[in-house]
Amino acid sequence: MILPQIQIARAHWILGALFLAIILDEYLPLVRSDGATVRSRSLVVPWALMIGAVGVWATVVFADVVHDMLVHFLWGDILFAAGALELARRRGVYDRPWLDNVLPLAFLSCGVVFIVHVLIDPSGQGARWHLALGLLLIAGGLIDLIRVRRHRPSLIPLAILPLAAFALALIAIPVAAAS
Amino acid sequence: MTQVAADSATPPGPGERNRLYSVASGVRGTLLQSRAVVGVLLVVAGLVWAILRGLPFYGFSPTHLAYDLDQPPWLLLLVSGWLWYRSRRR
Repeated sequence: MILPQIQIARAHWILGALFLAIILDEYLPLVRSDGATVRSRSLVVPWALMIGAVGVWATVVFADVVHDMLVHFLWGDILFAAGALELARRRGVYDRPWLDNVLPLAFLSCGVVFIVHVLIDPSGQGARWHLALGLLLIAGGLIDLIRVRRHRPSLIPLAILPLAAFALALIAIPVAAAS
Repeated sequence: MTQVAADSATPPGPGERNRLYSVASGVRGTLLQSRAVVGVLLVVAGLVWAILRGLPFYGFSPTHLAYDLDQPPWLLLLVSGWLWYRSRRR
Protein backbone atom coordinates (compact mmCIF):
# COMPACT_ATOMS: atom_id res chain seq x y z
CA MET A 1 0.00 0.00 0.00
CA ILE A 2 1.52 3.30 -1.08
CA LEU A 3 0.19 6.59 0.22
CA PRO A 4 -0.08 9.64 -2.02
CA GLN A 5 2.51 12.35 -1.39
CA ILE A 6 0.01 14.75 0.19
CA GLN A 7 -0.92 12.15 2.83
CA ILE A 8 2.75 11.60 3.63
CA ALA A 9 3.19 15.37 4.00
CA ARG A 10 0.12 15.51 6.29
CA ALA A 11 1.64 12.81 8.50
CA HIS A 12 4.84 14.88 8.76
CA TRP A 13 2.87 18.03 9.63
CA ILE A 14 0.88 16.41 12.43
CA LEU A 15 3.96 14.70 13.88
CA GLY A 16 5.76 18.06 13.76
CA ALA A 17 2.89 19.71 15.66
CA LEU A 18 2.93 16.92 18.25
CA PHE A 19 6.69 17.31 18.66
CA LEU A 20 6.40 21.11 18.93
CA ALA A 21 3.80 20.72 21.70
CA ILE A 22 6.11 18.25 23.51
CA ILE A 23 9.16 20.52 23.26
CA LEU A 24 7.37 23.71 24.32
CA ASP A 25 5.57 22.03 27.21
CA GLU A 26 8.74 20.35 28.41
CA TYR A 27 11.22 23.21 28.14
CA LEU A 28 9.24 26.42 28.70
CA PRO A 29 8.93 27.19 32.43
CA LEU A 30 5.61 27.03 34.24
CA VAL A 31 4.84 29.78 36.74
CA ARG A 32 3.09 28.38 39.82
CA SER A 33 0.44 30.29 41.75
CA ASP A 34 3.10 31.23 44.34
CA GLY A 35 5.23 32.79 41.58
CA ALA A 36 7.90 30.08 41.53
CA THR A 37 9.00 28.68 38.17
CA VAL A 38 9.08 24.93 37.60
CA ARG A 39 9.69 22.48 34.76
CA SER A 40 6.36 21.06 33.65
CA ARG A 41 7.21 17.33 34.05
CA SER A 42 3.76 16.55 32.72
CA LEU A 43 2.55 12.99 32.13
CA VAL A 44 1.27 14.19 28.77
CA VAL A 45 4.82 14.44 27.39
CA PRO A 46 5.70 10.71 27.71
CA TRP A 47 2.27 9.77 26.37
CA ALA A 48 2.78 12.13 23.42
CA LEU A 49 6.19 10.54 22.75
CA MET A 50 4.58 7.09 22.65
CA ILE A 51 1.71 8.29 20.45
CA GLY A 52 4.34 9.80 18.14
CA ALA A 53 6.10 6.42 18.13
CA VAL A 54 2.91 4.69 16.99
CA GLY A 55 2.55 7.28 14.23
CA VAL A 56 6.11 6.68 13.08
CA TRP A 57 5.66 2.91 13.23
CA ALA A 58 2.62 3.28 10.96
CA THR A 59 5.06 4.35 8.25
CA VAL A 60 6.50 0.84 8.34
CA VAL A 61 3.11 -0.41 7.13
CA PHE A 62 2.66 2.23 4.45
CA ALA A 63 6.28 2.58 3.23
CA ASP A 64 7.22 1.06 -0.11
CA VAL A 65 11.00 1.30 0.41
CA VAL A 66 12.92 -1.05 2.72
CA HIS A 67 15.22 1.58 4.24
CA ASP A 68 12.19 3.79 4.97
CA MET A 69 10.65 0.86 6.84
CA LEU A 70 13.85 0.19 8.82
CA VAL A 71 14.57 3.81 9.69
CA HIS A 72 11.01 4.59 10.79
CA PHE A 73 10.87 1.37 12.83
CA LEU A 74 14.05 2.40 14.69
CA TRP A 75 12.74 5.93 15.15
CA GLY A 76 9.51 4.56 16.64
CA ASP A 77 11.50 2.26 18.96
CA ILE A 78 13.54 5.17 20.31
CA LEU A 79 10.47 7.36 20.88
CA PHE A 80 8.57 4.55 22.57
CA ALA A 81 11.48 3.62 24.86
CA ALA A 82 11.99 7.28 25.81
CA GLY A 83 8.26 7.74 26.45
CA ALA A 84 8.05 4.58 28.58
CA LEU A 85 11.08 5.53 30.71
CA GLU A 86 9.83 9.08 31.21
CA LEU A 87 6.36 7.80 32.08
CA ALA A 88 7.81 5.42 34.70
CA ARG A 89 9.85 8.26 36.20
CA ARG A 90 7.04 10.81 36.24
CA ARG A 91 4.67 8.30 37.81
CA GLY A 92 7.31 7.72 40.48
CA VAL A 93 7.61 3.97 39.93
CA TYR A 94 11.22 4.09 38.67
CA ASP A 95 13.53 7.00 39.34
CA ARG A 96 17.27 6.92 38.75
CA PRO A 97 19.74 9.79 38.10
CA TRP A 98 20.63 8.41 34.66
CA LEU A 99 17.05 8.99 33.52
CA ASP A 100 17.98 12.68 33.15
CA ASN A 101 19.79 11.61 29.98
CA VAL A 102 16.76 9.93 28.39
CA LEU A 103 15.24 12.86 26.51
CA PRO A 104 18.56 14.33 25.23
CA LEU A 105 19.73 10.89 24.11
CA ALA A 106 16.39 10.20 22.43
CA PHE A 107 16.66 13.44 20.44
CA LEU A 108 20.30 12.73 19.61
CA SER A 109 19.60 9.19 18.40
CA CYS A 110 16.58 10.27 16.37
CA GLY A 111 18.87 12.80 14.68
CA VAL A 112 21.43 10.09 13.92
CA VAL A 113 18.65 7.95 12.42
CA PHE A 114 17.70 10.89 10.17
CA ILE A 115 21.31 11.12 8.97
CA VAL A 116 21.40 7.35 8.36
CA HIS A 117 18.22 7.78 6.30
CA VAL A 118 20.00 10.34 4.12
CA LEU A 119 23.21 8.27 3.87
CA ILE A 120 21.33 5.21 2.66
CA ASP A 121 19.44 7.17 0.03
CA PRO A 122 21.33 10.42 -0.67
CA SER A 123 19.53 11.08 -3.95
CA GLY A 124 16.07 10.58 -2.48
CA GLN A 125 13.52 13.36 -2.60
CA GLY A 126 13.75 15.61 0.42
CA ALA A 127 17.31 14.46 1.27
CA ARG A 128 18.35 18.03 2.10
CA TRP A 129 15.32 18.50 4.35
CA HIS A 130 16.08 15.24 6.15
CA LEU A 131 19.73 16.24 6.56
CA ALA A 132 18.72 19.59 8.08
CA LEU A 133 16.15 17.93 10.34
CA GLY A 134 18.72 15.38 11.52
CA LEU A 135 21.33 18.04 12.25
CA LEU A 136 18.82 20.11 14.25
CA LEU A 137 17.89 17.07 16.36
CA ILE A 138 21.56 16.20 16.95
CA ALA A 139 22.30 19.80 17.95
CA GLY A 140 19.33 19.87 20.34
CA GLY A 141 20.23 16.51 21.87
CA LEU A 142 23.90 17.43 22.33
CA ILE A 143 23.15 20.84 23.86
CA ASP A 144 20.66 19.31 26.29
CA LEU A 145 23.02 16.44 27.13
CA ILE A 146 25.76 18.94 28.02
CA ARG A 147 23.30 20.88 30.22
CA VAL A 148 22.24 17.70 32.02
CA ARG A 149 25.85 16.51 32.50
CA ARG A 150 26.93 19.86 33.94
CA HIS A 151 23.93 19.90 36.30
CA ARG A 152 23.19 23.48 35.31
CA PRO A 153 19.54 24.38 35.78
CA SER A 154 18.36 27.14 33.44
CA LEU A 155 15.08 28.98 33.14
CA ILE A 156 14.80 28.04 29.47
CA PRO A 157 17.27 25.41 28.21
CA LEU A 158 19.11 26.44 25.05
CA ALA A 159 18.21 23.13 23.42
CA ILE A 160 14.69 24.44 22.87
CA LEU A 161 15.94 26.48 19.89
CA PRO A 162 17.14 23.65 17.58
CA LEU A 163 14.39 21.31 18.80
CA ALA A 164 11.62 23.85 18.12
CA ALA A 165 13.26 24.64 14.77
CA PHE A 166 13.14 20.90 13.98
CA ALA A 167 9.42 20.73 14.82
CA LEU A 168 8.63 23.87 12.80
CA ALA A 169 10.63 22.54 9.83
CA LEU A 170 8.64 19.30 10.02
CA ILE A 171 5.37 21.28 10.02
CA ALA A 172 6.62 23.38 7.11
CA ILE A 173 8.01 20.52 5.03
CA PRO A 174 6.77 20.89 1.43
CA VAL A 175 4.61 18.16 -0.06
CA ALA A 176 7.32 17.32 -2.64
CA ALA A 177 9.99 16.83 0.05
CA ALA A 178 7.97 14.56 2.34
CA SER A 179 9.06 10.96 1.97
CA MET B 1 44.67 51.18 25.21
CA THR B 2 45.70 51.21 28.87
CA GLN B 3 43.08 53.91 29.55
CA VAL B 4 40.34 51.75 27.95
CA ALA B 5 41.37 48.75 30.02
CA ALA B 6 41.33 50.86 33.16
CA ASP B 7 37.88 52.27 32.29
CA SER B 8 36.41 48.82 31.66
CA ALA B 9 37.75 47.62 35.00
CA THR B 10 35.92 50.43 36.85
CA PRO B 11 32.92 49.00 38.76
CA PRO B 12 29.53 50.37 37.63
CA GLY B 13 28.08 53.25 39.62
CA PRO B 14 24.75 53.03 41.49
CA GLY B 15 22.75 54.49 38.56
CA GLU B 16 24.25 52.09 36.06
CA ARG B 17 23.77 49.20 38.47
CA ASN B 18 20.06 50.07 38.81
CA ARG B 19 19.72 50.24 35.03
CA LEU B 20 21.41 46.84 34.63
CA TYR B 21 19.17 45.43 37.35
CA SER B 22 16.01 46.71 35.67
CA VAL B 23 17.14 45.31 32.28
CA ALA B 24 17.89 41.95 33.91
CA SER B 25 14.54 41.86 35.71
CA GLY B 26 12.79 42.82 32.46
CA VAL B 27 14.47 39.95 30.62
CA ARG B 28 13.57 37.58 33.46
CA GLY B 29 9.94 38.78 33.38
CA THR B 30 9.77 38.11 29.63
CA LEU B 31 11.27 34.64 30.13
CA LEU B 32 8.71 33.89 32.85
CA GLN B 33 5.95 34.80 30.42
CA SER B 34 7.63 32.80 27.65
CA ARG B 35 4.62 30.51 27.18
CA ALA B 36 2.37 33.47 26.46
CA VAL B 37 5.00 35.05 24.18
CA VAL B 38 5.54 31.84 22.21
CA GLY B 39 1.78 31.26 22.04
CA VAL B 40 1.22 34.70 20.49
CA LEU B 41 4.12 34.14 18.06
CA LEU B 42 2.58 30.85 16.94
CA VAL B 43 -0.79 32.54 16.33
CA VAL B 44 0.90 35.27 14.28
CA ALA B 45 2.90 32.67 12.33
CA GLY B 46 -0.31 30.71 11.61
CA LEU B 47 -2.11 33.83 10.39
CA VAL B 48 0.81 34.91 8.18
CA TRP B 49 1.03 31.37 6.78
CA ALA B 50 -2.71 31.29 6.03
CA ILE B 51 -2.55 34.68 4.28
CA LEU B 52 0.55 33.86 2.22
CA ARG B 53 -0.13 30.22 1.32
CA GLY B 54 -3.91 30.00 1.59
CA LEU B 55 -5.99 27.65 3.69
CA PRO B 56 -8.08 25.14 1.69
CA PHE B 57 -11.43 24.11 3.15
CA TYR B 58 -12.41 20.48 2.62
CA GLY B 59 -15.72 20.20 4.48
CA PHE B 60 -17.30 19.31 7.79
CA SER B 61 -17.46 15.49 7.66
CA PRO B 62 -15.06 13.78 10.14
CA THR B 63 -12.51 12.87 7.45
CA HIS B 64 -12.69 16.30 5.84
CA LEU B 65 -12.47 17.97 9.23
CA ALA B 66 -9.23 16.06 9.84
CA TYR B 67 -7.94 17.34 6.48
CA ASP B 68 -9.04 20.88 7.42
CA LEU B 69 -7.18 20.84 10.72
CA ASP B 70 -4.10 18.97 9.50
CA GLN B 71 -2.69 22.04 7.76
CA PRO B 72 0.27 24.06 9.07
CA PRO B 73 -1.67 27.24 10.04
CA TRP B 74 -4.31 25.31 12.01
CA LEU B 75 -1.66 23.10 13.60
CA LEU B 76 0.24 26.19 14.80
CA LEU B 77 -2.99 27.59 16.28
CA LEU B 78 -3.75 24.26 17.98
CA VAL B 79 -0.26 24.10 19.53
CA SER B 80 -0.69 27.71 20.68
CA GLY B 81 -4.03 26.81 22.28
CA TRP B 82 -2.44 23.81 23.97
CA LEU B 83 0.35 26.00 25.33
CA TRP B 84 -2.16 28.53 26.65
CA TYR B 85 -4.19 25.74 28.30
CA ARG B 86 -1.07 24.30 29.94
CA SER B 87 0.17 27.69 31.17
CA ARG B 88 -2.75 28.25 33.57
CA ARG B 89 -1.50 28.92 37.09
CA ARG B 90 -1.98 25.99 39.47
